[in-house]
Amino acid sequence: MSARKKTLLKVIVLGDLGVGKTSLMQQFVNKKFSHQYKATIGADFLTKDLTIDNKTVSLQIWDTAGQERFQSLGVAFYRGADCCVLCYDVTNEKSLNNLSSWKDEFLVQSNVSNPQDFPFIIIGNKIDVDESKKIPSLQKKLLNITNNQLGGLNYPLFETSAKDSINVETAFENVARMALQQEELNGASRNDMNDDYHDAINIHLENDNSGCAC
Amino acid sequence: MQSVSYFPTETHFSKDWEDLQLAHLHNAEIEPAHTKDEVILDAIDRKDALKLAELARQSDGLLNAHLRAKAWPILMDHCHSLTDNEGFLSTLEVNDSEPHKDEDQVLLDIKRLFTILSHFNSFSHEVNSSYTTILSQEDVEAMRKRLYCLIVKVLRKYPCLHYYQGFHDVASIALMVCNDLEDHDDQAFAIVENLALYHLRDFMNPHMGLSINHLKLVPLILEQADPALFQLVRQTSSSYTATYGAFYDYKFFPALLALLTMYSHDVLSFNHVMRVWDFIFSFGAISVSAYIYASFILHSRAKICDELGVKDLEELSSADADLVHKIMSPTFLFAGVSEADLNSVLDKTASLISQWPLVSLFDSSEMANLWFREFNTESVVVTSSKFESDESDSSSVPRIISPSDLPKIVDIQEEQQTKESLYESELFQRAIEQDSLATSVNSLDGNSPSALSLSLLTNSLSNLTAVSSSINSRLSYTSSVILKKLSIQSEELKNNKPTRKETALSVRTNIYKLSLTIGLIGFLLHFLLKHSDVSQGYSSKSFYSLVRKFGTIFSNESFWNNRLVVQASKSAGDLMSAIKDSEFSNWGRYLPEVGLGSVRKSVFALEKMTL
Repeated sequence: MSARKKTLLKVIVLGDLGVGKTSLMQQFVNKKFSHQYKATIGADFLTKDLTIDNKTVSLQIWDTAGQERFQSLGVAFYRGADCCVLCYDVTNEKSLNNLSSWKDEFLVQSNVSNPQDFPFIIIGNKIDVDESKKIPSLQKKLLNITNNQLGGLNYPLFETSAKDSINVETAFENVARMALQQEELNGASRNDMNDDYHDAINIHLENDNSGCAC
Repeated sequence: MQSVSYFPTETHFSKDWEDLQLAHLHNAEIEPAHTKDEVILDAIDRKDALKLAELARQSDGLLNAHLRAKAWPILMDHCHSLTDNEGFLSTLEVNDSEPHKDEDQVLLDIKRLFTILSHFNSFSHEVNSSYTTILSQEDVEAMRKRLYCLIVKVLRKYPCLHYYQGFHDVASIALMVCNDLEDHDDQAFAIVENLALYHLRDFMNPHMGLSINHLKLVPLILEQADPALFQLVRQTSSSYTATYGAFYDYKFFPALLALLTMYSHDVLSFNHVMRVWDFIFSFGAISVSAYIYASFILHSRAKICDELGVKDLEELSSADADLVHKIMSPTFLFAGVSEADLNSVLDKTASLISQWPLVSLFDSSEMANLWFREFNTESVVVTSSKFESDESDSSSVPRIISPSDLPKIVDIQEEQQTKESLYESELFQRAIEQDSLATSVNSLDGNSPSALSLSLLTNSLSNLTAVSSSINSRLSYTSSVILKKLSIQSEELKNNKPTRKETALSVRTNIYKLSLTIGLIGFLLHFLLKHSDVSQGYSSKSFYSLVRKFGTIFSNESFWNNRLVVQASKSAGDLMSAIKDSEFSNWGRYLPEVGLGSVRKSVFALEKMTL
């Protein structure tokens, strides 16, 4: 187990329906954009290998359904996440206002060990659209939300266009870096949870050998 | 002309079709028809649903959209006839009735619906089809509008049904199949209405709970048909890992997309969807969907082994849960499905159904018996599926639902669902209390080195956090219904005092939140302290860090922005300091009871409230 070639990083992409979660993912993983992706139902993931600081990591990006009724399924999919991407649409104010509820929902359902400093990243998508269609005084509102609803924590913020492939790569590289940190922080216990259904003792002995106690 | 039919030379005749023709030779009473579409047309004219069902299960199904548009309503009517359809359509314009709350959602989904274009174009290459023109963008737009009207019509006629993402995929198929008919929109409406009431009703409840119950059927079928595949699915499920194998909830999420959309959401090609629908309608039961899914998994066994890197599943000692989710998902399972694959999958499905009909599945396990017999007696699996494999059984004829009955049924369904999820979380909790406790304590009893027990301790701790938080979310999910009811009650009582209503509600919410939090703290403390005799230093250290952590959570205004909770956290702090003053060795004795007790109590209290 210590000979794991690649570090697997699990990333969950959340946000209101239609903000472009699937598009962002498709743009990043497959370098393609379609005007119309169908609504995502349930959850599925794509993987992409990246090199971050000379380390090869495999980014497992989970695309989720935006409709509210599917939120209760999070428990099944969020487990073991290393980073969470909160998306909004720069032309849709409601999607911006819902960011904090997505964050709270994620923390409740994912059961991360460090909710206070779990890595979140915020992506505002669709910056390619006309300036006139964008949310008026977006920066102010965003600042307001970060301060009042997201606990003043300065989550990294990216404005992207999945359509024109602006900033998507950069944003996800950042996601990978943050996820890697989180993984190193409590990777050991994560591995336990994933693999321990056969023989808890054996697996723990292996972990002890793998030198995580440094 | 008749002699042609006795010795069919047409190449598209399938094997079983020839058998049928030969059978006709010996049956003078039945007038031999010439080709399969003539037989189908004949059956349609005679409204012979049994004959149509038989034809629908053959390897080329009901041949084309034109025949399907006429045959499906007969297959459906065989099970459930609808009344006053025309009355509704002729007297009620869409604009006249109250808008449904989900209409915006419908619009958003339809805007993004690609199916129409892609399906229609695949459609037009069909040989015997009357669709010859490839649709322009305008035509697609027109189709989208018609689809929107279709869905909105259904929702407005039955406001108690909730729209779910995926229902639009189902409706789009119905619309396309009926496109060739004169009264296409009415026909499509009849099909979609029938589907919504008798097949997809469970998915259109206010919450997802009952939809999840349908997913449980897939592992249940696998359990009988292929124990090794069942093991793979079970061992990678979160309920199983969290309880060390003490509890498995059968929730098979990879099948969600396929079952909710009846395989119509980018899952299979249009012609394959047609075949699958023929097959499902021929049984008149949505549970056939789950059998088909299980059959697909069985069919893909070799592919699954390949992906897991083993020759046979027996060799497999462990598997990654996410990978298993992926290979059990439609994108992997249905990739590159050929006509022949589909035929063998459907044949296999038919034999699965006759070998293990729902009745025998429900008899096979106590848990499965609960899902659709004890609880959820109003589920479509019970009310409009044929429970028996024996089709002549008249006792299983589903009853007809009138629009006025539907709200009651949906209410009952929701209520039963709440009870079931409460019951399930209780089972889950018991599994954790008994087995997880036993295993972790037992492993600590052995003379293991302290480093090992330390890692075991942290592991059981992290596992318990997972478990308790999932209980937490389950409870909050089930309680949302209760809270909703409470809010309605207080609204009635305090109509003139909205502020008091609000505070009353928020106090209730917070008392509830608080009790869960106390339960959670109790859980954690219990596990730290239970093992405190083994690694005292470690656990006391983490105990303090834990207290600090909860302190920060409580004091964080954005998280618990309520006076009540702040007070409670203060008293919780008092309690903790009191405990700190008392003897260290005594902690372990009292705290477990506090933790587990309060969770049990809140479950109990919730139960009482629902009764």
